[in-house]
Amino acid sequence: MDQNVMESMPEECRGVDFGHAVDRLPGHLGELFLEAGEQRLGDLDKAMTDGNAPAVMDAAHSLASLTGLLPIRELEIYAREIYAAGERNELAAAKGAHERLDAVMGWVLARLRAHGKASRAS
Amino acid sequence: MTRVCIIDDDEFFARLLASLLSGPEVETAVACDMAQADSLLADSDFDVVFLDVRLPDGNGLDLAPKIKELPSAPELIIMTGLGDPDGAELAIRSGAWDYIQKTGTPEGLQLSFKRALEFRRNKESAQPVERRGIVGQSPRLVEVIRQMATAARSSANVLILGETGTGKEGLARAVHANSPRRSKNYVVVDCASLHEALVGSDLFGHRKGAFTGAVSDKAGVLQRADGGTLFLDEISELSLELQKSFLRLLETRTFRPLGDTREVRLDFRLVCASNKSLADMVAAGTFREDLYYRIRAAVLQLPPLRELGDDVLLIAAHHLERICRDSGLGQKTLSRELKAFFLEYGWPGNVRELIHVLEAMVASAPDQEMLVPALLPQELRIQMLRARVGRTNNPDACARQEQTAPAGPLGSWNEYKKQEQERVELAYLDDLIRASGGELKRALAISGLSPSRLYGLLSKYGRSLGGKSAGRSNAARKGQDF
Repeated sequence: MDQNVMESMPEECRGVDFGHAVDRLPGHLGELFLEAGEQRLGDLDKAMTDGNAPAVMDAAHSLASLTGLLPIRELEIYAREIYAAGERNELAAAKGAHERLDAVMGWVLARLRAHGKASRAS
Repeated sequence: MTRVCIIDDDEFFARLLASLLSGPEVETAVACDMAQADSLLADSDFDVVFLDVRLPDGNGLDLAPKIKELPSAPELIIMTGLGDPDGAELAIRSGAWDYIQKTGTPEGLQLSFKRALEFRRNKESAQPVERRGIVGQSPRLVEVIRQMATAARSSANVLILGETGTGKEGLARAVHANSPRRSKNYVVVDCASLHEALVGSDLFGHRKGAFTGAVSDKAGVLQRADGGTLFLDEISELSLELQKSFLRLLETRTFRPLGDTREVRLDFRLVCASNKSLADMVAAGTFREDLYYRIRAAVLQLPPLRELGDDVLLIAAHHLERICRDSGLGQKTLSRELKAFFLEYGWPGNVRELIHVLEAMVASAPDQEMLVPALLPQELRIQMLRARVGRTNNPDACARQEQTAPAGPLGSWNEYKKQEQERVELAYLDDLIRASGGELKRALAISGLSPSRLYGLLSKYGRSLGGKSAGRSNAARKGQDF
């Protein structure tokens, strides 16, 4: 992993064997994972901006089913926090969790995209 | 083949799960809402169902009771996500085998699936199987029985393949007897004897006045299969026109009796049998491909008798006991030499041929306690003698065979002595006939036997002195000229 990647790595991802996580993702699902992850992250951002609590719950719920593939425990915790805030209709309380989930998931998806390009190039 | 149904509206997760479970023996299908799930579960049988609690058109748990009552009784695994109640509680309440969290690891998802499958296999093997007269313990037959029991408990259409005489109809009956439809009718249609002109009325029934001679309403054969099992024997003999009719019936589960304007709905399990390769017929254009795929949800391949090893003796003993009982005769046994022949012979007509041979032997010697090779039909005796000559010409092979392949388990001393005595008597008799040139006087002189004793032996083993002096044997009198 190069220096730039190391520096941009969110704290939650440190010590995580990301290569192993990518390797165990069935090959043909890599693209779908990227697509689903980006779309669901976008849905969550929009729902948070709109203050749409049911949509926030839906997005958090579907993001959570992606997190099982990634050995980053915090992702599920953030998704749960956001979901619970949506349930209480107190979206402001989910701001911190949303920011962290955005940062971690965004970094993971960028790594996965780079990994995919690297795989195709080799 | 293990069939898995995944009911989840999350396309990524459903595809991920399907990928994690997939293998050469696993087939997955996905439904993304309750309506799709309903139709998928009605059309196919599944071993395991993964059910998401949250579906776009309702609560997935509402499907649980229906899934548990399906004929194939699949194992149910509940999938929970954020905001769902406790998975364990849901699983218990819905009668599910297990629950998984969608946020779980891939290994956790696979483990749950493996445990459910293991449980299912143990459950299936623990259930008693009604064999319906299918005898045998060889691994190949036991595997067919296992496959039959699994298929029977589902509602899948079953195709039975096998050479003529292997017992396809018996296996079809076993499918019915082991199915949830066992209390309903089992209806056989012999496709080879269907008459094109009458088939419409015979199969589908007719309304009064539908044609000249239709003086009253008449139900067709198919209607008797409602709720039960319809067995189409020798389906390869169906004309292309009838194949089309059956395909429609299978697709819509409805038909219209002749002269009727209303459709009649039928609920039946279809079992078909063929001694021809339907795949070859499809390739040749003589069997409809769409019908072929419709009827072969489960395929049972019956092995020929020659490949069942010692099962031949078990099958022979079973049918011999039945034949004697049906004929009001005392029970009979097979001699050691006859057992050896049964094991060696190729049985081109399979079990049917074996039964006919036993019936002929019992008929030719109703009072004999032990069946011996001399009672075999002529063509089989010739084969046996040829085989014996082959062994005599190759004594090493013969000796090896006798040392390594005893014909059946060792019985009592008296039985053993009797068999050996008969073997020696027969061998001596053959040598005597040869040495005497078929002349009675010479035979008596060589053997030192009294005429009555010699005639007794000749009669017992169906031998004659070449038609010169000894008269005709019991067997010959019955048309079996040895």
